[in-house]
Amino acid sequence: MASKNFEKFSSVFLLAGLTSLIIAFLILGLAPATMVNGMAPDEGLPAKIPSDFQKYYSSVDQYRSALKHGRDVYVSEACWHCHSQYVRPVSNESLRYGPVSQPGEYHNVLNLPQLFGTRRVGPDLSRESGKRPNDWQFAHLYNPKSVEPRSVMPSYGYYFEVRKKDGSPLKGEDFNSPEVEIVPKQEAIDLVAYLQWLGNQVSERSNSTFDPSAIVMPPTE
Amino acid sequence: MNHPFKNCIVFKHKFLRNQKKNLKYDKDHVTKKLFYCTAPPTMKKSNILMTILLATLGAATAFAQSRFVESIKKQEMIQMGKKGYETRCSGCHGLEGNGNGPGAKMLFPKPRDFTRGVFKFKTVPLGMMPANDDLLKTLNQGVVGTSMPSFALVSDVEKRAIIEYVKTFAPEAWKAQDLTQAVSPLPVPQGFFDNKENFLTHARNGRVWFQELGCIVCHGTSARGDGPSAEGLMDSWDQKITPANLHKRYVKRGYTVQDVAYSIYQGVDGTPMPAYGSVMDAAGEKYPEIKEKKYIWELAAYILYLRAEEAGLYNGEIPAIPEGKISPEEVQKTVGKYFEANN
Amino acid sequence: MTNSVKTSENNLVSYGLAQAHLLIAVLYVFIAVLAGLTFSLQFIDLYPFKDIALLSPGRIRMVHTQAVAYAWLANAFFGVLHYMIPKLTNHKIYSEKLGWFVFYAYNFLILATVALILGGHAQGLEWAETPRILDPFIAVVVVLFVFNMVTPIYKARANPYYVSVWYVLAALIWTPIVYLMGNFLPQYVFPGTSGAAISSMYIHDLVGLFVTPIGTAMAYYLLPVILKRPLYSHALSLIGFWGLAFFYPMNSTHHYLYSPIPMWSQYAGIVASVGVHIVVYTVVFNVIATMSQDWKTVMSNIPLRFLFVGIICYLITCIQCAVQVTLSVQKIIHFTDWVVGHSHFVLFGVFSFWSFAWIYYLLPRLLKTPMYSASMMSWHFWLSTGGIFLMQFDLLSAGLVQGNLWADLAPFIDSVIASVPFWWVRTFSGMMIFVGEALFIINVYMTWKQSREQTSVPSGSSVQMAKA
Repeated sequence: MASKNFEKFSSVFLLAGLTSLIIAFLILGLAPATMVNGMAPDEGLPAKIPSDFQKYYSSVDQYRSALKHGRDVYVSEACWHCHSQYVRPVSNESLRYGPVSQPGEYHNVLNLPQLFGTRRVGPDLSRESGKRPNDWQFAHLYNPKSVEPRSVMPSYGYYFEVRKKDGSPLKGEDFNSPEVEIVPKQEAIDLVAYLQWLGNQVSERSNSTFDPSAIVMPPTE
Repeated sequence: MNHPFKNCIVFKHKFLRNQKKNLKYDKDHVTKKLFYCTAPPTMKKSNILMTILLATLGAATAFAQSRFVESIKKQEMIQMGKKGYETRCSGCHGLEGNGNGPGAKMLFPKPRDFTRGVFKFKTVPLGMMPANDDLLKTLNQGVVGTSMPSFALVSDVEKRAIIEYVKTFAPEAWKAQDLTQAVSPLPVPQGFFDNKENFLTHARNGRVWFQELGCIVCHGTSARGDGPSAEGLMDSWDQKITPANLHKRYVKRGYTVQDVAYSIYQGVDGTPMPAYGSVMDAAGEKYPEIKEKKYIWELAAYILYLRAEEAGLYNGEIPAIPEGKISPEEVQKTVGKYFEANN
Repeated sequence: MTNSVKTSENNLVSYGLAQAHLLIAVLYVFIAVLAGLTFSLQFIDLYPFKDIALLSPGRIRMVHTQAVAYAWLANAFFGVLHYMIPKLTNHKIYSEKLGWFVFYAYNFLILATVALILGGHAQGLEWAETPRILDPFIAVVVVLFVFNMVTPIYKARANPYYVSVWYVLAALIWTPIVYLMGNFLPQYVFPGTSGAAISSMYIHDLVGLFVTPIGTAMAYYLLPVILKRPLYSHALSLIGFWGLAFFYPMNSTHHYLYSPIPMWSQYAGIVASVGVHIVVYTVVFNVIATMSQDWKTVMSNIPLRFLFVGIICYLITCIQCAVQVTLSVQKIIHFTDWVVGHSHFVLFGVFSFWSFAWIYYLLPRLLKTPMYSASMMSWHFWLSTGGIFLMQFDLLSAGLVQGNLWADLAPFIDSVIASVPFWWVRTFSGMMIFVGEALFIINVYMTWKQSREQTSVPSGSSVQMAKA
């Protein structure tokens, strides 16, 4: 019984199995962490409120906590299961989305835990900031099919309030009348604030849409 | 494109991938890859006579039907464009092209109403219909800062087909003239943007033009779109409109200095932004300082300076325009003489 | 305990516990498949609960994956272990009371998970969407379960273990470590890429170090027992086991290839993933060689049929794994439906099938009643098999289409439009699986009802008795 002798040292093998897991954890789990520096004191959050959000938030602290809340909404709705958050250096992704992702971009409190994602039913969102204006984002969240007719994204109507312009609730009015407006609730505003934050720290933007040889900025020398 | 194996089906695939930067996605691309035939079919002698016969016949038919075929092609293109329009555009612009699709309710600025036959961004003079290339440019880069996205990844054929379909919403407007090529009367002049000193000189002149030509009335002394006349401006589609904030790194037309120049020269159709070109070109006879369109580029330089200041590239090289002296009457004194020269 | 189960053998095995875990697992697999099917309707524009926050498709998706991994498979595994470990070691579990506590606590936590996910409190880690607040409790319950199970294994240390015990022992020791690592480190300690590296370890180790070893152990136990023939080679099975122990933990980073995680870590993941070949071929060869001693029984016996299809799926899925981790393939198929197809194949085609095999084998023994309907069993088998292979083929094709459209720089919406026909087929295949699962739960319910009627009126249900 060769296998019987083989198994005499069962405790040794048990240790070996445990060790293999720990080695893997050290190499693949902890070693990458040692390659990035500690988080900045401001936790990598933006220092000022973008101009488009100044009407929603009065202080930077409020904006920062809104980013965190928006991220919570993003997680709870499982947005990250259909939208990834990193741009790969292959498959023409840098042409489609923007610059390839770098480790430093993810070193902030809004990436704790990271939301890399492993599936793209919809496009990558790591370069979403500034690609679309806020009102498009709201319209798209309220009903994605309204702006992208063939979209399969679910609608998030429960983050919006449909009411008349004077603030009174809807009473059998025609939905399409100009008196009726759709107002985002706080969750939707925070979520859009988070979406518009994604990738705004990347200075080099995707510019595949215009001719880079044309003059966009004046000379500095 | 002189790859030695470019016609080999295996290498072709790889080759195309490497060439992606110049290659726009083409729907038939996959099919082409699958059924690409490298060698031309060899022809037997007996077939040659038959071929000649058929070719003659074909040519005759083609000649007879050329007009008919052309119209069929256009119809096909419109059909294809309809499909593309319904997939990509109808959400905002509406199935009827009236700019009132399901998404329009929450968007500002409102999506364009194609039935009026008025288009903002073009290289042709105010009032004319835009050339196909102008519309293609709008599709390719979107309207910056609005909900109109870039459709650069959609194939060229499909975009042109969509343009043909969009034309059917206002057939009367397009009957008069239907241009294909963009007009480009505004090449960027030499020596304006090549070094800092030249640039700043021109930008300083631009600052003067900015006041004298009345830009400050709407765009304001700060050039942030808050001039005394900014309130209550309406466009041709009966929508409220605000003057552009020129400190942003783009105007809606695009990012480049040429886009800025076009907006000044040709105006923005359907909005209160006037076309200075039509006025000034005529007055150029009388006033030599505006003869070579230099004022446009000086204004553009000033706007570029504002951008650069916002981006932190410059800091206070040119002082901001002081408040005051911006009532329409005041401006009338400076810009009025050019208008008078027209009459 | 009822009088009828008070034999010497039944003193060894806690029938009530095994039964309770297995029965609730059957309920959960039905719910999990229902959730998956509902979610798939979103893709073909037929989602029935539009604009209802509590039933938003994203939340239903998380319920689907959580229910599959933690409700269905974990409960089925726990039930099987409650039977298998005492049988293999000839010792009782540490404490039956502890076992019942684990059963109630664990299933309460699962219900709480579902409620909190639907309420919008999910955690942002893949395969660990269990709300943060529940994580420590689950860890405690898992540790208690492990303690309960390791005791008999420890008591039996004098004799060499059967290979199944090796697998189970390893899984029991790995699982709590993996759970603590994956749920707490990326959430609280490591942001960004370093967190992603650990999170990817969790994604992989949940399948590789919890589901795979216990599943393989189950297959290795069931096969000789039903066939009444010995395993083809014990030594070969041990090679497979140690291959798993050394290669699987290193696999992890292959979930985030081409990501900002350091490239050497990704290469390590790829090399280890290719090493998985060793594990696969030994296990598959061993199982098939054992089966080949008596094909007739394999083909006629429903549990063995499930086992057989499972091992075929295992072969396909593992070869697929070793191929798709290579960078050139990954370039195209990552982020596409290919990956979704792969994970369905692993968790449904392999491990769910082996759990079905076990339930069909074990429930009649636990309930002392033959299964209610043999034809329902057969239908369940064929619908599940047809469904999963159709889904696999469909999603792999969809993945290739999507990946190539993206590489060719098609507008993104074009890849969505091109996928819609595939998503219809996916829903159809999901429907097949759902009908199979519906037959399964009806069959099990009727069997359970019959067993209640059989065990005479005063004693009542064996489950209820066992609780007392």
